[in-house]
Amino acid sequence: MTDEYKVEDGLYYTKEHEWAKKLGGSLVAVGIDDYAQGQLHEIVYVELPSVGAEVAQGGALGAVESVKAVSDMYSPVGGKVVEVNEALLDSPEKINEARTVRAGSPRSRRRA
Amino acid sequence: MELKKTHIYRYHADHGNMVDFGGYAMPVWYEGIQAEHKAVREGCGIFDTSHMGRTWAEGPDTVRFLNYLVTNDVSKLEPYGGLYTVMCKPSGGIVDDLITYMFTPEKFLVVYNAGNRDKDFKWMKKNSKDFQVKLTDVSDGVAMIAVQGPKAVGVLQKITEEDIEKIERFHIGEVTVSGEKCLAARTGYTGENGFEVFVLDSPVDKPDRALKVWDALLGAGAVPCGLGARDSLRMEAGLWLYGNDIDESTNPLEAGLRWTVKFKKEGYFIGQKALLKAREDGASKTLVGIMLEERGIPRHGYEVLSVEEKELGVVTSGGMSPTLNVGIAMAYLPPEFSELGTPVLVRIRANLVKGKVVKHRPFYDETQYGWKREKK
Repeated sequence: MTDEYKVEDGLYYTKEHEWAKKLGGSLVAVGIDDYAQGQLHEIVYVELPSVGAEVAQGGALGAVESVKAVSDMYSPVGGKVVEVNEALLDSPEKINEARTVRAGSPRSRRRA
Repeated sequence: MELKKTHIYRYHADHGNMVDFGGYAMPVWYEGIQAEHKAVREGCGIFDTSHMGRTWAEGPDTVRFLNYLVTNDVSKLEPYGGLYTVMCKPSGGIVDDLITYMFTPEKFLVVYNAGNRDKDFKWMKKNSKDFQVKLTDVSDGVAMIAVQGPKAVGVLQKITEEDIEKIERFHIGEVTVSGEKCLAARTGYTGENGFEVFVLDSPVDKPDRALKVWDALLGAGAVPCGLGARDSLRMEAGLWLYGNDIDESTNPLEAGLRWTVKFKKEGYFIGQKALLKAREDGASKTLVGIMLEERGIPRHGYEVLSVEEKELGVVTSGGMSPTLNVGIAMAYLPPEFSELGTPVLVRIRANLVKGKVVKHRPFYDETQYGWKREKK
């Protein structure tokens, strides 16, 4: 395991290791950060919110699970989910493989 | 409190991701749980199990003592034979599950769970007072390494002088591994073929001989595996984890361990009266296997419900099966819900996920995985 973590410009990070990025208009992408995926190590399951769901800031957004552990995801912003990264449902290991925050993280856009 | 270390600690500290397991510093994984799990199902993995309890029982009353202590019938054993059993409280609740090996009618080895080392030794000692038997806890003087998988026999044979194929399942033999005096038992906790190797005369504060055997196994092609894979492998095999699936509040009849209780054996055994009554009364709950039919990972403590959403029980052990790539679990349910195929729901956070009761010892297809499969 590495002790170096990717931190990208333009992303706002939370203490719970989620991030948010402004996409223009009222759309915001959110996900988990590199530290979170590294700590979980082998991600085998992702639970994403439903499109259309209303989420409060700090509210439950789903969960990421490794063989041994469950990590709840909390939304860094409030709003309505308009899109989820469905590819992760079938291939949750992509989160580990990508390491980079954007490609490998659940991405739900919402109106801020 | 400082964590206790096993004989193989030096290797773990250099290569493993360490956790506190019952007060011992143990590796949860080295490269990754899934890869280690696969190594055992397809090749050969090794586990340090030196944290487990090992006690010699010696003396003229050893058989009588053990038959009083445990539910299974020790008197049926022949030299170098092993027996899986539980020992119970007078209430019928399970103190621990264990394996005992006979060397002579006056010398047995008892192997039990790491988390119960102190409790079990005290329990054995306390109940041995009326017997001529000497109990010697050698857990810190004997290292223990499990060599597991379809290629385990080949790997261990490479570094062992004697022909280990001669040691049958649930038997033990005296062997020389990498030049060191050992015992090799054809047992394990993975569902696979393989051995548990006891490195004799190997004090934990002078672990060179144990480390030499560990290194020789790695050199022979074994993959080092941590507690993470040990747990996922035993779960797929439907094997009980003390503290999760069995404990002092469960009895062997409801835990699916009826076959380890020999009511007709000679003499009284601790818990016999309570277990006879439990048998007459009929079980109010029974341990079943559950396989999810939808996405999700059932975990320890999650609620299990009927399709009418009536609460039935909780998951005692559960996880994602790396071999089957599906969520599997064990849970105590009312007997009327224990029939194979019974649909159930598992509450995973806000969702009720569909599953059904399945055969779970093991969960996998035995023609494809495990020690019964045809040799490849």
